[in-house]
Amino acid sequence: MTPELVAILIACVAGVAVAWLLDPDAAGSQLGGEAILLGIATSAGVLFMLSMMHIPWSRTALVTGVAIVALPCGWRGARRRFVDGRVRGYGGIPFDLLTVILLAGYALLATLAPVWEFDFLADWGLKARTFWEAGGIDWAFLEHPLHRIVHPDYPPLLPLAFDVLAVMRGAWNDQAAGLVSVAFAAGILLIVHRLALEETDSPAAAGFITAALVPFAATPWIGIAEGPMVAYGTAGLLLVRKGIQRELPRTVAAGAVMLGLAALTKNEGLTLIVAAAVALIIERRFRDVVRLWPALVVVVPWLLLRSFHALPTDLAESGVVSRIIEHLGEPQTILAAIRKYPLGKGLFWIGIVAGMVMTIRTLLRKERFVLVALLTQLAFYIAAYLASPHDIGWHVRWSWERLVAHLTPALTYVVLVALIARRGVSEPAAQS
Amino acid sequence: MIALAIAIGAFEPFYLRIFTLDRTRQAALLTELPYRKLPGLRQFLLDVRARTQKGAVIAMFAPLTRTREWEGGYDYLYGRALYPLAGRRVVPLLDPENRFQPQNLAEADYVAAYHAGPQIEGFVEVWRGPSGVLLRRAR
Repeated sequence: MTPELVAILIACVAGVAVAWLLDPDAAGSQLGGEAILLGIATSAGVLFMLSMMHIPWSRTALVTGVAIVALPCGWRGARRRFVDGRVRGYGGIPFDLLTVILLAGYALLATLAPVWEFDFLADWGLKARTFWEAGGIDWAFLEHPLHRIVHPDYPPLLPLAFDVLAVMRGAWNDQAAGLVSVAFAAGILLIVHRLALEETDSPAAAGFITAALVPFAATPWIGIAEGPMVAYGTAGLLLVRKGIQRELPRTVAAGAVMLGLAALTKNEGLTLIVAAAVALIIERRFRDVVRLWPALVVVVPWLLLRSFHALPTDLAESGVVSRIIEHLGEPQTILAAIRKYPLGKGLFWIGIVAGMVMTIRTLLRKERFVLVALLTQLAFYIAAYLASPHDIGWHVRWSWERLVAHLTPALTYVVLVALIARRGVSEPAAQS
Repeated sequence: MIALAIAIGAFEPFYLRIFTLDRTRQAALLTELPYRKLPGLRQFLLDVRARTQKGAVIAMFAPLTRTREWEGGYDYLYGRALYPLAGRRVVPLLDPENRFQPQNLAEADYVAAYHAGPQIEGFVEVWRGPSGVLLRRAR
């Protein structure tokens, strides 16, 4: 898998340059995490642009394109103010080791066999392989009526990320495609580690929070868009949160870019941008709502192309209003389906509820942005069920767990930080 | 304590267990997993890919059920044929309402017949494997 690892390495180097420019306040592992997420997006974006310019995909064209983006970013970003990224203390090492071992296990699983998820074969991987065969985005394939079952309207970032690996190898290798899931998991965990370290000022607490989030970052759905959606969506929310809590407008903008990339990964990312804006409005952070503009810059070109090529969206099939009215008349159908297909991990959810109850005052004071954004996004998911042209039971069965997985990491992060902060406050009081 | 409960509750032991698993066996299981309901299908599709060229139109034929229904297995076959045959245009011979699609047969360069050996006018058999045959339009 050397060519694929080289592709990811090149993406990371380019990503450092882009992260330097976008988020001057990123330090330590946050910079590393942003480099992975932005670097993959940069490489995928280069393939997208090559395709739009009708330049056939090749290793040379890809590397040249990535260099053209990265060099000016690195040049400007090199003048940034460097933030101290040192970690003080060694208490986090056992947790960090556990995280590395779990990620290594995830990497073993992800590359054990050609990606086996049906949604990879029928959607994300199929599009990637079709584009690879065509040497660019195959609009005729996406537009063909027979291919409505492959969701032609779904955004192209993940298929293009698979294509980056294929272009670097010069051949299609579906066993290596799982590396993309591992890279996204590593990216968001690195960001989480640094944010937790800055907030708790404790390497042990940061290591613990990061290790706790491994199962959510390293999603079991290898090769499909949930992992990238979790990575970009969680990074977006947590960076906007950091930006508004510490008055760092550039970090809010960096978070907005991540939200835009979430929207280039899954359609649910579009509603996450709206959810973040709603949460900022409720926080009365009107200037920060405007600072979300990069999210639109990232995603609007795709939306225009999607519209230009008339790629259909099943949820928007004719009769949306009548379906919503019909489903609202029988809410028990959705509730029964949600009850029938529970989320599992009972102890985890009990812990989250207990943690929220114990830290409710902190959460309401400090975490309104994240909580409102997550609740709004959840409301969008329920609304999507109401508008669904499919049987609701079927739709819930095959999507509910994955949709909730988009929201879980950010929720877990804020609850764990609140619990640890509570403990940090109560200890000195107990000693006095 | 609550934080620990959250971490334990979220923990995914499989990412540790995988170090001790028989990974060769696991890999073989995972490779066949998406095609498991139609034995031999994966290899059949790989064989068809090896014998057809980029851009070819391939019609999928399969007498999967007595009633030959879309949801009686044909959707499973068709849904799984697209990825291994990417770069070719894979067309169904049934639609979701179980209607035969003669226009797709008319434009096909090949017919890939899973667990069947149909005689179709205008096509000749070019390959036969353990799980099916490949017919090519007669020139």
